[in-house]
Amino acid sequence: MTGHLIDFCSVDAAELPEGASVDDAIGLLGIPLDQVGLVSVDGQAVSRAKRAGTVLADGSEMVVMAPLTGG
Amino acid sequence: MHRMLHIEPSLCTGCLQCEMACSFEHEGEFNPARSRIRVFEFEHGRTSVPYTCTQCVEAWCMKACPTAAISVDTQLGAKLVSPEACVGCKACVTACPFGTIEFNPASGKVDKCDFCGGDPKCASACPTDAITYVDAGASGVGRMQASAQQAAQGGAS
Amino acid sequence: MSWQGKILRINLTSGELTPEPLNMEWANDYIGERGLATKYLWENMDPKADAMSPDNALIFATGPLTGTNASTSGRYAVVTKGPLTGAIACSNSGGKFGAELKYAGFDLLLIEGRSEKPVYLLIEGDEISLVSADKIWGKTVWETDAWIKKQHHNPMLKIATIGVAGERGVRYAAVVNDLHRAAGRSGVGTVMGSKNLKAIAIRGTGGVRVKDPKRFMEVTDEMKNLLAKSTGGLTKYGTNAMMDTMQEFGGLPTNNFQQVQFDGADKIDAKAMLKTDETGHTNLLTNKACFGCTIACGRIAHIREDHFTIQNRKEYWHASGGLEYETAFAFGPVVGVDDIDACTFAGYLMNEHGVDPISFGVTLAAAMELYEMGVITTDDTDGVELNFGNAEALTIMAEKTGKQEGFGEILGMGSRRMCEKYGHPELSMTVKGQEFAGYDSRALQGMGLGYATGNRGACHLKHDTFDVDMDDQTGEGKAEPCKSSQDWTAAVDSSGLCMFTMGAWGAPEFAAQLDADSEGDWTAERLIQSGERIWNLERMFNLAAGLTRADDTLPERLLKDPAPSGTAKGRVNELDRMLPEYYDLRGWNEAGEPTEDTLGRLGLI
Repeated sequence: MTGHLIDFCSVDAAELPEGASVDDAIGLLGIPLDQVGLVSVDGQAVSRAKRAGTVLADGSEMVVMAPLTGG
Repeated sequence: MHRMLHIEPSLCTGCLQCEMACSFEHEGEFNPARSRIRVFEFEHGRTSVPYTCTQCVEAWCMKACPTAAISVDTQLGAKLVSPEACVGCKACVTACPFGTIEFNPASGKVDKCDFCGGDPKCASACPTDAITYVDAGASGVGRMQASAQQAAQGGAS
Repeated sequence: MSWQGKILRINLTSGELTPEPLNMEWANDYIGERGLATKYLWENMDPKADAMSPDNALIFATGPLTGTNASTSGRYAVVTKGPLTGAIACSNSGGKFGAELKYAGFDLLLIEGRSEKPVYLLIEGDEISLVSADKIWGKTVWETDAWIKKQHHNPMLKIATIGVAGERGVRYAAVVNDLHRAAGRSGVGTVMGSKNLKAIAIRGTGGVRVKDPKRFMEVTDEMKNLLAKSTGGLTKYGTNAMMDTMQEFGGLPTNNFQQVQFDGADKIDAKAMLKTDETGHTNLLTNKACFGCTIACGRIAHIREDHFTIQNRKEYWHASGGLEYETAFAFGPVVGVDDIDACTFAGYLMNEHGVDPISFGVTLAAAMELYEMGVITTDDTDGVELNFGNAEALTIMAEKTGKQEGFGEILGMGSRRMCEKYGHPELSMTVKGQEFAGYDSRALQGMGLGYATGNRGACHLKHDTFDVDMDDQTGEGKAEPCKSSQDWTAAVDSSGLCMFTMGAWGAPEFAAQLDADSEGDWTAERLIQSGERIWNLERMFNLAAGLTRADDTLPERLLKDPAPSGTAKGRVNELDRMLPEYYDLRGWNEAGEPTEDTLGRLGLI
């Protein structure tokens, strides 16, 4: 998680069920969807439209980025 | 219950919403120069401190006034200036050691904090609770509580 | 209502100070602040005039909401023709100065000519005068602020001033107000210096009234509650909260835009500012608000006293403005430095001497690349090794540039002139001569289009395509969000409020506040159309100044050299694809000129 998103997260670690999508993971972390700028999985950007359909594999690295505000 | 304005400088960001709220309430316009509460900055803004009249029980301003224009609102504990009696001599301005009663050149009278009749606008305008309107007999409770919490975390295992 | 109805025309050549009525027709058509100043500029100078000549006009303008209790009501604009770009220069600042100008009874200051000797403008209540600045010419921003307050026995004065950089013609000198807020970009401070105007000191004792006080108080209250729900990380982390996002995303310009990610980012980001080190030192002390602001994104920081930059310089042991995103980018990744204290110190110097950190950092980055290529050597750089990552070089050169000593005189030219001087113009990362901010155009396509078409040169603050750019790293569909955000931002910049409210407030929210505040009916549509009008007037100024479509471009590096890493790895900026679509949407011809139809629709002819 980047930026201020860490402040939403109430968990240190969590178990993801098999077949969990990016959106599921975001939910588990407690991050409101409107606070997500971009998600990347293993360095590849996952657009908003594809998040619900992107399944996370064991060992994948997902980064949730805060939106950019300028300044 | 007498209340007082409790100032917590560590929460003040220097936004000056209090100065606008106060001047709007009393003058009908946004005019920090006529606010009865002022925010002071120190060390390039490291510390910002709102300050205003602390409603002394034995008030220098009251005692100095030759026309008895300053009186006590017994319900609020506030010291109020009667514009009818005030002659603008500024004896109170000289007498107050804190500088919190000020002459208003436009009206020819003096202005000071009056708790806005019991609903101080500075406190309600403050976005960070740096100014709160609390029980005058327990204004230190917040800090005491924070100290107690720290002591408990340090002491108990 | 909301306006004081008065401007002050200052003729520095003759010394005449003339109050004039505010042109309400222009205020109604151009909202205020940036838009209003642009109109006054257009009507009061020839765009072909030299930016450093007495024929350039320099305008300080408030907005209709400046000085009211709407949140973030402290903004003002400084507008002129820019000496860095030869295009319109509109810079924007917060702090307390803008509100004070309104309280002093003036909506706008129009400064013309050139004073024979250095002066400062003093406004105390209804007393206005030009005072000799012979005792403060050559003083820093901070010395000047203290001196003027003491001289006039008035600690309540709010002061906007230039430092030596502005006096001596650094092309990107800033106007600094309230010690560490600034109208930073495009050399507006340079223009002030060219006019021998050292400072403007104001104490306002009047008030600002609004059209419908009851409704206004209700609306601003409601809007503050809305704002409180979505300031994101700004209050806690400041804008530097974005650094780790940019790093992760892969749009963080590093080593003069040769890379888009920086290994040292986590040493200088917002979280690093909050870390307490082994000596108990934490960079960040507290946050700070500008006038009226309930977000408080400002940072107050301090430097480790044993750090090489200040260990023998007690005068810098005090707190001052800390790293916000652009300063962190300009003193961090773009020059390869990951020393938070060095970056913070360089930031102090920028405020103290009145210099734009973005243009300085990116110019230094170009110098570092020239040095590493062997084009310049330590013979040119006063013996300083200008390698990327050299924190000492950063701070030494920041000071030399501020004070205009040695190689600082070359750096003070800006990267375009400097790189041309050394025969490598391709290393200047600029548009229209102004340096980029910390968002790489290969990773953020729409931002690239905005940079290329921005009226004041490369600027990250005049458009906002971040959202679509993060979601889609191609140039597809970027022209429309770029144009509409340019128009909308022009309106926000003209209102007197801060653009950091844009995450919470859209046009309806701004309109509601303006409508209770100002004469006439203010709707969302009217605001957006006014924004488009303002954008086109700025464009007209630039075209009249001699800029053309050829200036709407990006450096080769961003058009040809693919991003080497990150989520946009392999991409270049797709300007060729976006620009024609953009011109079309704007109602401009292929030469990038507004058509008669467009000008007519906007009331510009």
